[in-house]
Amino acid sequence: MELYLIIVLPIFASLFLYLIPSKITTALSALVYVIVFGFTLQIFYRVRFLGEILTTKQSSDFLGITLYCDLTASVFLVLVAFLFLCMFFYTSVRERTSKLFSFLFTVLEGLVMLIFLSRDLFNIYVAIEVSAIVCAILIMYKHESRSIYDGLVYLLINITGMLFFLLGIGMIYRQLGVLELDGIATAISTRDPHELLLAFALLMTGTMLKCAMFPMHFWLPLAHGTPGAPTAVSAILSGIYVKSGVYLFMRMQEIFSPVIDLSPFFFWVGVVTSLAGIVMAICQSDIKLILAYHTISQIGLIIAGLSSHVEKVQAGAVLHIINHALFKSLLFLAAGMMISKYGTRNIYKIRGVMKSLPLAGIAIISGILGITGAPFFNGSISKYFLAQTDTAISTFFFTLINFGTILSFIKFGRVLFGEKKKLSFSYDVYSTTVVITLSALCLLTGIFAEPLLYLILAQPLSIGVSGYITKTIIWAISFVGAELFYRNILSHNKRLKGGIDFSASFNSIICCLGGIFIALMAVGLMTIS
Amino acid sequence: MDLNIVEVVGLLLFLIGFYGLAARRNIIKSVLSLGIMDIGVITFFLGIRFQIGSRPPIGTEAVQALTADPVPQALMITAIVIGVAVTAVALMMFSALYHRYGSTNWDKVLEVRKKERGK
Repeated sequence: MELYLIIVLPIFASLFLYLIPSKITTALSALVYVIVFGFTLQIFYRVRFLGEILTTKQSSDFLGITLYCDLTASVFLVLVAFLFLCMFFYTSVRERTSKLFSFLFTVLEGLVMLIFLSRDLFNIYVAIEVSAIVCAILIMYKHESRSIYDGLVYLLINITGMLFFLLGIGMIYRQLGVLELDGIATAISTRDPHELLLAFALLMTGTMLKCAMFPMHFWLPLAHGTPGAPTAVSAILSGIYVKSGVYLFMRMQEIFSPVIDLSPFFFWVGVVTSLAGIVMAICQSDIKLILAYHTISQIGLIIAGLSSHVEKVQAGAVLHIINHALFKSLLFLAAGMMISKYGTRNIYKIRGVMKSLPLAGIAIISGILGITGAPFFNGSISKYFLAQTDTAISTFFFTLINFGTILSFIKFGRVLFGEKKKLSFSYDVYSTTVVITLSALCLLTGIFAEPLLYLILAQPLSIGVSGYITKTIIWAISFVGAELFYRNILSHNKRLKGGIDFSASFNSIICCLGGIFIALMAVGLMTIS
Repeated sequence: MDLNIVEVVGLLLFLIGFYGLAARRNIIKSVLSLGIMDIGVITFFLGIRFQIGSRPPIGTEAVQALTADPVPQALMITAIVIGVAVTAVALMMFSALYHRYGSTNWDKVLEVRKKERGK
């Protein structure tokens, strides 16, 4: 029952609030967010201790539409509800009281929940498609001309990707006669992989586009780093919404890996995406774009981790999804504060944040320590597990990626130091609370990692002390190395000051999409024959 | 994989739409191509398990007769609605974009946007 409720409640409540006078709507929509958060906590409790939830009884022909909640999904639900609650309180009063914004934002919450709960390919398609439309409108919400371009490109690219996905669904239905994920998993095991390859390639093209894998990443910096979107929207897109693609990837891998196992291919695509994301992040001067390109690199890391065969690495990747949601949304919020106070997005012009905006400074420090994997912070735990690979080469690449992350965040961290600047500002009590809560969570989820891991993964995973210390030493060495590298080489590079534009025209992005589809077909053919 | 005529037409429309997206620089044509791709997928779905001479599974006579699979057809109602919504939103965004950039060409719009970025 609750499963339906957490999807339907935000959608219908926002519709209702759109119609009534605006004086009480803010309080009421805050109430909706709190209620949904409470429901998700209760669902998590039930799933964790009493077992998985299935809304309708499974029929043998898999035709009914069901919602299904297992442990991973319930953890995501809690995260979604929590972040939406935080972002709602962070948004400025003007946005919060705007009916259109509040309506779209609340509807998006329900749709993201639907993506995580669906057990049916077509339902997933509908949820992703509708949420893409909602996101596109939210991106261009302020009607800034660049944001309209960004929103249009985002919409068209994502819809094209999802049409590939829909055609894949058609192929699956044609071959197997089911759309339900369990039904597909049962039916698939007896089939010849050659029959399913086309459907697999089509589905995976859509999924990889949603995950912004290299070279289909071009839409992500446009959508997440657009200047006109409200900060809360960027934070939600980068923190949670992009994870729906990763979740889809997990589900697809789960179903298809017994028949068509392309995990080595996805591992390398993830590594390449991660490295490319870091290189592009270092070349930016726009603060939001740096964070957006960083999302690409972290998603690449997560995909590489999920494609590994070692169980610990997969657990680390799932944990990294959660951690990334926390610190990336925190960094976006801090960036939003700086942008509104300093009136510029250029990272070279913002200095002295620690003195003039201590709150944003603290948020940035904990976000940076989290994302680079400093000891005691949450990123260190997930990166510790991600480094537990079985081959030396993947360990090497994970270390290299972490070095790059540290390097680009050293550049980012330069905003903290420097002369104090006189700024006229007043602290909003809600946004202050949100930022402090998220900063504290970055630290707390790191310190209490072991009980937390046991709670959300239901399997005891211990963190070896010696391994953790080695990881800390590697982190310290990388940090010093990155600092020296930045000070002596990168900071003298004149071209970086202006920022290098990596955007591509719409047609080339579509060609990349076609290219990935062909590559998937080719790799798939090589693997199964 | 033996495809029937409806499925072949659907796949061809899908490819035509994809070609339009990849090769045409006009934004309106991109939106149209997306619509063609959408129609292609819908046609493909309608052709799943369809044989010439089969009838809709409605009424009592349908029990003996050769019927088409109703599930994909039911799903496509939703897909058509979404397709309309996407086209509407995309055209609305395009008209807003045209007011600001004054061009229907992707490349020209991107150029102007790159210049704006420097500001």
